[in-house]
Amino acid sequence: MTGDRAQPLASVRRFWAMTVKEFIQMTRDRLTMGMMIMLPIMQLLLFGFAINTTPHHLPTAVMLSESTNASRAILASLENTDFFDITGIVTSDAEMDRVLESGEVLFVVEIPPDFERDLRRGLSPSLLVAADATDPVAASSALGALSGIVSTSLAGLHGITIAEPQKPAFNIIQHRRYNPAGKSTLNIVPGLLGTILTMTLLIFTALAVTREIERGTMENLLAMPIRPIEIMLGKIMPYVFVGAFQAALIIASGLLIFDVPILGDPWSLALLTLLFVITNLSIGYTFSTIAKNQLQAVQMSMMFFLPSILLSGFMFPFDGMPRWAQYLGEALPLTHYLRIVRAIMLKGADITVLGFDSVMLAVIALVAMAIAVSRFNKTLD
Amino acid sequence: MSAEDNVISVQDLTKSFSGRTVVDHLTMNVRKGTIHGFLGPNGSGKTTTIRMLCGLLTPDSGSGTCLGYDIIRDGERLRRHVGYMTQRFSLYQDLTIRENLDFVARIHGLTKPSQKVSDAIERLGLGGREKQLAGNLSGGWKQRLALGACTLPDPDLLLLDEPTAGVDPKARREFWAQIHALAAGGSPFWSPPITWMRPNAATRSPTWPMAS
Repeated sequence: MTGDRAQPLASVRRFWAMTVKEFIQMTRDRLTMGMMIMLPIMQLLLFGFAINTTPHHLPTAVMLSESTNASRAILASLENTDFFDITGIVTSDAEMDRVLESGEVLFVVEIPPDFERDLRRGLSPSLLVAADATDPVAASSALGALSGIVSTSLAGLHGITIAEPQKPAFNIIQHRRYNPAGKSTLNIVPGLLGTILTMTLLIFTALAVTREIERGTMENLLAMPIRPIEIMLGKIMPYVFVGAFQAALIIASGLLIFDVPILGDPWSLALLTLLFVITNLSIGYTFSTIAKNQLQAVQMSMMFFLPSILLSGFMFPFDGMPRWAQYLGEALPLTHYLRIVRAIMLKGADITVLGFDSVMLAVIALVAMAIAVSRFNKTLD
Repeated sequence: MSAEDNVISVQDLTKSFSGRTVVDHLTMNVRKGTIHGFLGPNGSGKTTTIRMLCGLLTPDSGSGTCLGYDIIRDGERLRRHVGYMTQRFSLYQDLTIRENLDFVARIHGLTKPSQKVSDAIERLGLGGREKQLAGNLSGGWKQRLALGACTLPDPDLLLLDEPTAGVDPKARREFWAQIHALAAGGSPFWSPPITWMRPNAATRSPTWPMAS
């Protein structure tokens, strides 16, 4: 009989035995291994190229009441910008309603009768643009560009003077810092880094405990002298390496394929990414200790993942949300990681200015681990 | 008979699942150095009893000790000294024989784990199969592996839950030969009381010692 000496909180030896066991099981599962590597890359390429917050080539119809130099110039310049693709001509108000309702076009530009004549007389005629604003993002950037396009196109026409607007009392000078060209990818790719890590890592550990229960191995595991904290750390550890590998893969692809720079301190980025990986794995593991089976665990992960992408500032501007939603967002690790990764990669920050977000990530991880350890059922009851 | 002679001593153990009483006021004492069979038809509460004895289930009422440890409060320490072989194979199917035994040895914190695992593989006649995945073993070999795993840490008490259910007669005979070999002194420090459970057929063989 071995003596009952006082036991420390956790034994490194048992933790490591658990880690080795989990690692071997992970490598035996070829499909999962392949997904771990392929999934991040495929999602990065898919979303990185697909998501565009300043959409171009939007289908547009025109309603022409006259064919004049002015109207032709406007149409030509609309086509010359990337924003509008003129796909048809409508002749009546009813037809205009129909093409907008059916979604054939997003815009209808109506050039009213006597537009050019009124223009030459200096009567400031109106040009009607009807936009399908059910998707405000799609409509707004194109509409914003419209007035400039039309002015420029008409400026070259003989005999037409576009009145100089009165000289304003002051000038506004805009600096679009950190992303002067307004490229979507600079915003999307760092966001995808956090989103893809959240999704894959949550699922990995969400299945950790429920899998043992469903395969019937939990009874044997519980019958052995191993502690909940050792089981948890041992199950999280192999996936810390997986998460780090996935992060490196995504960052490298972002650098090589999407030209997303790392302007700040790469070590800060590495360290905080590792923290983010651990936070997500802890949350997934917590779900695993609460769920009764693997299906429930996956459902819980999805319930967590959806607010993560919608309330974290990945999809919509964080500061535009109502205060209560912002508090909710602060409880999500992705919110903090997005701030961290955007600050470091695009703004050149390092860990010293990211204290709050770093501490929040650590706090969320510790809370999740504490819940997991206390929730873990040490018996089969 | 003094209390120290009892390796298992439980009083009035009761356990019910969703209103159905499975174990009803069970009181028993088991002395050291004995081998017991625990008989009863399916659903008579054998597995539930064994699980309560090794601290895996909490009884609704009643109390008791196993190896001197309170089965309700001292479950964690108790598990270090009990070898429990589950009814259903509960080692990892996607690990090899050696990896499974290595895991058990290291969780128990055995000194020289690799050497002890090699010895166990030799003793159980699993040599040459150590790199085979547990999931690919036939029923009889799985039982052997499970026995190897629960005897590896030199437990003071062995609880076997229907160890030969679903195993063909030849493998069954071999399994019990293993048990007897182990009990007869595979290691000079090791001669545990063995409690096994087997429904129906237990009385057919006169070679199984039934002491109580």
